[in-house]
Amino acid sequence: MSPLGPIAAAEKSHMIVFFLWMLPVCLPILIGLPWILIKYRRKGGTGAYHPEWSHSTLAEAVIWGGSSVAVVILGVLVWMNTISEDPYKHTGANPIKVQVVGSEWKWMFIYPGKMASVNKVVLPENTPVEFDITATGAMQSFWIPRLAGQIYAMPGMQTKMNMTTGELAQLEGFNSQFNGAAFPLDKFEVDVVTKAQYDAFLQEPRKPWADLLTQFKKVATWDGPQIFDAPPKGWWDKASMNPDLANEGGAAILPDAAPEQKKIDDAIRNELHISQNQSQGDAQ
Amino acid sequence: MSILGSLKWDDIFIVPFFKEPSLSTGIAAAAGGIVVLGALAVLVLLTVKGWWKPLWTHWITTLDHKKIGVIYIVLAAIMLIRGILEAVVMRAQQVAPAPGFLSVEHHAELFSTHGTIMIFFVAMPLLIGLINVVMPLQIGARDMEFPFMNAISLWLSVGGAALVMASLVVGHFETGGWTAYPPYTGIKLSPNEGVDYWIWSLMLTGIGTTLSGINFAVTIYKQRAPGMTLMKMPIFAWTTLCTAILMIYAMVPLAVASVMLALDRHAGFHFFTATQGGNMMNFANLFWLFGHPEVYILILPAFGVFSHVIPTFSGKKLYGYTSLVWATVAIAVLSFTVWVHHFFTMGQTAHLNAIFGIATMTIGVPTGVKVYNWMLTMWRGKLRFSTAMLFSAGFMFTFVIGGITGVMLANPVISFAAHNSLFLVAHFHNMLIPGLLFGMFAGINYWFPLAFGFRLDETWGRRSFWLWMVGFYLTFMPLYAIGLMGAPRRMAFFTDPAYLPWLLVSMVGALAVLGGLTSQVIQVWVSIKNRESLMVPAGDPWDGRGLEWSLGCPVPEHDFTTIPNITSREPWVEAKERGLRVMEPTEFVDIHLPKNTSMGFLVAMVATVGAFGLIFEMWWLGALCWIAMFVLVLIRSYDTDWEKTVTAEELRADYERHKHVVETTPKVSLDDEFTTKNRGLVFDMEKAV
Repeated sequence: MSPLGPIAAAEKSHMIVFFLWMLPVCLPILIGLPWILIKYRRKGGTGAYHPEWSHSTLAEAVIWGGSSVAVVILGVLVWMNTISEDPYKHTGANPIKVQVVGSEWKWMFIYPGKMASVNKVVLPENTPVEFDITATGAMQSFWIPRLAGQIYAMPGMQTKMNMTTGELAQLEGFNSQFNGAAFPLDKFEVDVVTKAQYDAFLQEPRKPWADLLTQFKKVATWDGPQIFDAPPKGWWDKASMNPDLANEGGAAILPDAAPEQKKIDDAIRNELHISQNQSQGDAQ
Repeated sequence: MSILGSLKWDDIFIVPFFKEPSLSTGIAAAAGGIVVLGALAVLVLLTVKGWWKPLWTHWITTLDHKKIGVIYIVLAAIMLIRGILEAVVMRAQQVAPAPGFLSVEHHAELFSTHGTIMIFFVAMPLLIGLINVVMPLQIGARDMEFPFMNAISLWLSVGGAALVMASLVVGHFETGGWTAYPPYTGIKLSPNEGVDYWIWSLMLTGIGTTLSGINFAVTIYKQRAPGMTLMKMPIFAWTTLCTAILMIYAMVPLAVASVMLALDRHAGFHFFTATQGGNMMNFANLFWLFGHPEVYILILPAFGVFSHVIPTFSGKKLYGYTSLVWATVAIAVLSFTVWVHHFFTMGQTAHLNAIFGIATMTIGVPTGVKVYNWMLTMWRGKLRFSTAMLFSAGFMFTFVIGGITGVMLANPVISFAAHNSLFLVAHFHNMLIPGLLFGMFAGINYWFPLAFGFRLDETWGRRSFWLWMVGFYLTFMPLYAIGLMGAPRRMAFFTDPAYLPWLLVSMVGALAVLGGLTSQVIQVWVSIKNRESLMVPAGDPWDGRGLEWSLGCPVPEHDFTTIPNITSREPWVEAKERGLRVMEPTEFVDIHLPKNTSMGFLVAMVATVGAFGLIFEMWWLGALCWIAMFVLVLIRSYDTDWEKTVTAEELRADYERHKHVVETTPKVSLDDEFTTKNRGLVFDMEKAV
């Protein structure tokens, strides 16, 4: 784990803290068990034999008491962590709002009133962001691991994920909930750029919104232009209530649809080709 | 609508291969071929050897709890072989150059059947089988309270497993994982028969499990030997009781969820659809309202096994009986209060998540207490490392590591970063492989003589332990690592080259596990071959402590010649200390045992055929089988000649025979426990006065 934003950093530190707090409870077993196995072995062991010994009030108190104390401490930590890292809580004043629609197997991002993009989200550095998330077909899970944890994207539902972007980076976000034939392709680019680059991005030339919607409903995987006009005001809210607005019942993704399956296979091959070139590039 | 419903030519396993030959369709065709050829080979073997009649009279129609238990375990063994082979294929797929040799969909079928099989058709039959064999013997009962219902439970589970096997030959299994979350598993996104295979195989085995739960609980309440109060019961009986209660309550939400999903798919309902008022989150709630107690259904019986294996092979009384009982009860109660931790990422409030996170960690307290109790049982003992003891010690060490990652995942914030990742996959394998499989392996090695009269080969048993142990660490420790690096679960291939070394180690681990399984097959084979020298007719081959070891091996159909009076927790230890080698008989009376009947088998097989009809939308077949089941049950209900009598004289003769065997068998010292000198009646000569 190499976190970039403060939320991902907090997740990592909680993980380390919890691991360390478990050691006082578990190390006595991990060390004591092998020691007992050696010392009390029947052939060659040196331990004294007390076949009737089966109770000790002191031991009971230490075992029940000790593990209870550990859980109380960890319980307090859980309560504080969960509330401070609540994905619904803004991570700073006036976060950038991005609306998200997850579909099979592509992601739509809407900067309300400004623009829409597919499989690409551009964010300014060190800035709080709030994603409003819904989906169209199957349930998905929206995840940009180096910035924050995941949250489900569900058709007919709205969820939120707040985070603060870190330094400049090109990252990957993806769906982690299996949703069919092109699941390995269900991901998107996350570009964390300077504020000036971000403003320039929002001014880039784009295609009409109608083009996006037509294509988004039809195709399984996305290749082609990524930037479009923003949808009419309130479209995302409507789409979160009626998933068919962005996907006509998932008709494009049936596994039996052979032509679509072939396109998916091609897309997988294409994707692998690109990533191989990238890693060769990295190596050089 | 044709008479064959939605069944198509393409559903037959080899047709897709001939239409579009590829490695992926080839593997599917080969798997289907193995099932068909395997079934044919069994049929030929039965015919050539003339085993049809004994199979029918001694096994298929039996109502004897021990034989029913054995069939459960055989079922689990067959399914375990499939489950592990699938795991090896998946590991190989991920180390092969991307995109691997399996299509994404085929890989998805593999992880879905792997999960479904391992939980419902390996873990459940193993523990239900072991409970069937052992629990009545431990509490001094002659059979289950409802022997006929027991047979129905068994054959319904076999029917469910048969459907999962049939999915290799006819049609497809589903691709949404063992949890089968809609709307992905709804009719729109999963239009083929796969999800219906999942629904109906689980329905059959789920009904079987619910009936088993009722049977176990009532047997424990009603059939205990006189004097055996609840607090004198062996721990395995306690964990069985708690598991049984969990089965009764937890299987219902699963049945409800899968019926609702079936209605969504075929009757136009909208329980879990995205539109028209459906809500998929309710499926997750219902599923895990079953799914979390299920985890403890799986683990509690193994805890029971360890509570007998460890004292026996430590030559020492169990430490902290009362503590263990209350810990078991606490786990059973708490298991119903934590299900939300399976979906912290669903967008509920932070307070709700925090409460379920804390509840989850609370379960860690009684679980930790148990591990310490077993450790204190070993402390000041004299440890003998039999296969069963090795599996128990291996469990304790490995399970604690799973406990650490479990408490980490109980923190919702950590769960956000590890959910749906290979870290999670590594965690639950880390709980279930030691916490369920090792427990069942220990129990089978330990109690095997009760059912068959001979011990299992120790050499191959120990080899299997080391291979399983090493295999587990090699397979799953790398998955923890790449899970933290962000590798999602259920991914058909990875493009990040950093994962490859870890996946290669994991592949080696999977092969070691396969080696462990192979050693166990060899172990059984060698033991059957050498059964004469492994016989322990006098019983009690490990200086055992429970009532079950007061019986000769194999245990006769009526179990006890006379039901003993119980005055303490370890009546057999006390009898031995008084110099007895056979429990003193109480009163010989005529007893009644249920006659064999084919009805349990027939009812369940008709149910299976009916379920197959429902899977392929042959509604007429489903209806027909429903009526046939009703008629069969009706016929059975009017059968008045269903009991046979064993007379007091026969029981007395049997008692005398056993006493004679015991008296003519020389006592064996602990040194010779694992040698052919062990014909039963192992004794600690150093302790004997």
